[in-house]
Amino acid sequence: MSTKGKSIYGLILDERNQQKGNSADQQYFYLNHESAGLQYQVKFVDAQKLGIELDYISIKRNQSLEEVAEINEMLSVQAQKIQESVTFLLEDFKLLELDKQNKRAQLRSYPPYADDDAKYYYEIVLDEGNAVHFQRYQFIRQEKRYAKITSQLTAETFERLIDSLSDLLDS
Amino acid sequence: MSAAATQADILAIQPEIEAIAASYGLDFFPTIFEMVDYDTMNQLAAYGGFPVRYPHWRFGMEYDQLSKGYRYGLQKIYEMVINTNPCYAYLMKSNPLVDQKLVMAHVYAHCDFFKNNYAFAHTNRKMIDEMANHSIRIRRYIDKVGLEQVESFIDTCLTLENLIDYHSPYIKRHTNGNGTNGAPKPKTVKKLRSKHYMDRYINPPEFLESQRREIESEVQDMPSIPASPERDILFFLMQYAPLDSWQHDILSIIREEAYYFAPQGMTKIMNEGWATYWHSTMMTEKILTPAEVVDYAEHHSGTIANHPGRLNPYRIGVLLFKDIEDRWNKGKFGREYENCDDLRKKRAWDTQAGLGREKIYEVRKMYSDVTFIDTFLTEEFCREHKLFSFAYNRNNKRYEIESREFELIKSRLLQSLTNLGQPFIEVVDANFQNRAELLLQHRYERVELDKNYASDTLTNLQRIWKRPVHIRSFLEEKPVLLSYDGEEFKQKWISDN
Repeated sequence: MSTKGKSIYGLILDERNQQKGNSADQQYFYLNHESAGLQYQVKFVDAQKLGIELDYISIKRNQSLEEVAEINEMLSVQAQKIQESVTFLLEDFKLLELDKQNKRAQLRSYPPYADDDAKYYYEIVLDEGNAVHFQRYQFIRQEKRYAKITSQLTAETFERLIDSLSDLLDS
Repeated sequence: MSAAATQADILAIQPEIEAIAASYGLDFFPTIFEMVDYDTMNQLAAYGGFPVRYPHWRFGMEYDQLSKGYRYGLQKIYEMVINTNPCYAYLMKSNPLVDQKLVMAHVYAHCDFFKNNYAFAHTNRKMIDEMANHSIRIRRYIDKVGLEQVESFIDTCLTLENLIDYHSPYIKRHTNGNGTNGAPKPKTVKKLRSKHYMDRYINPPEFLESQRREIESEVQDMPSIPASPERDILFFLMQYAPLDSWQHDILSIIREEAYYFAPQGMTKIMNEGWATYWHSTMMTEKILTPAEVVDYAEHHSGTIANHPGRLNPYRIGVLLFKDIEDRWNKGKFGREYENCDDLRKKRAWDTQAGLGREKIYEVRKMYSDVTFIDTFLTEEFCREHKLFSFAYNRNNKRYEIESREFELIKSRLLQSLTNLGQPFIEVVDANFQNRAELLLQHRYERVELDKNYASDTLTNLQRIWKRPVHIRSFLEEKPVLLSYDGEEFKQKWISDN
């Protein structure tokens, strides 16, 4: 099992404390980090020892694949892996579309969490087999509008998520 | 049969006809007449009247069709005039002198219409140069990316060229200057220009990162694109579709040409009616010699002949202009006339107002076909000129008179003219279901979309948008979503809201 999640979370806490020191009313914090050929980008509202209010995670592998067929094959393998391994967010993932033309796969939590006013879902986009993006969305029924929202995750869940997403690009 | 007119004949009569046209108050751009043989005329007609166009197979196809039509005696183009300053008009060399006179009088009226009608006010009067420029640009792209690719992209764009907002040149729909109903352009981090080796000093990564963050926090609430439905779909695609620069340029060329030709479609009845009105007035009052009367009458009656089941724009246009002139000359307008219940009195109404000429000049300036028909097509006119609405009878497989009812005839006619008889289609969401899919909306007015056209349009839109495209419409009076995802065409019944 990868331990990248733990080290990234450690860096997030450091970054948060450092950036908070620079400006007290900062709305978002960012972590940009590169390790073992992977570029991590995490945007978050706040992070404490026990949990994080996360906006998005974006991970990119420096090497890219050339062959279109190879990329599409890789995307379907990665999508399968997500459906099998990312099962700890209380919402399972389902592959919505594998867009072979644009070399992109889109997974969303299924079924989405719903209350009277809105539906909420996680989305993972796999891009060209060498990048992955994680974000939570809300669909506001009355306004018929989508909005990006934050996810509240425990430190442990966040670390598992980072590990799972990193493993996708490692393989 | 009279002999064909020579160039010398044309040079001799042109100043005379021009002076006559001006004496009636027609106000036209300088007009240059070129005499061409039938083959050149067909080439020019295939090119939409312009001597230089970009290379595309459809021009060849149109030329072939025109040539065969001429050779088999099915059709003949007497003249062609293009909306430029100066106006260029092409006359068929083989026309006898009386026909050339008629055509020249007709052309001056067209030129007057181009210059003065509001619909043409925004058109580029130097379009010959612009078309040549388009041709050069497209030829360069052919050299750069290959004929096959460019031609196939032009084919795709041409199938979408009617997805423009015909009224946008006359209405300010966009308030923020970026052109898409207030939807902001996607912002990107702008780097300062620098040499490669200086880049990290001129554009330090921390600076770019802070810029990116600033933009990101602005777009967090995901404004919908477009902010309000957008009818100029070609413009929308230019703004938001993932196009290469050459594709973007070709799309802009197709759009520009579509807007240039649009006023001609919007004023077909008026423009031809106006030209016919003036050639008949000038010919019968001032130009014709006694020996030419029969030839003229034969030609003119052919122009305004009634074709059963078809609308002849020359006929309806000229009759309406004559009707307007007559009504305004006799004072047959206004509340008093409209409220008069006595049909006999109405028929004999004549206040000697004498405002006919003035009125038709006003109409030629301020109206397009839709408003022209809507305002001036009266029940009396319909009855007098035996206008019917036709429909296809499935039982005997023939077109038959469907109705003599004025309201129905008028609404059918208006329907065929509004938006050039094409359905109203708008882009309503470029991020449908939050998946970068394109959603269009068909404004349903009791006329369904032709499913074959709809599927072809969606296919070509998908080719440009590169993501699934959908259109919301109605089939069998039920709301439906038609979709194309690049592989398969789907139809799904949806709820009304």
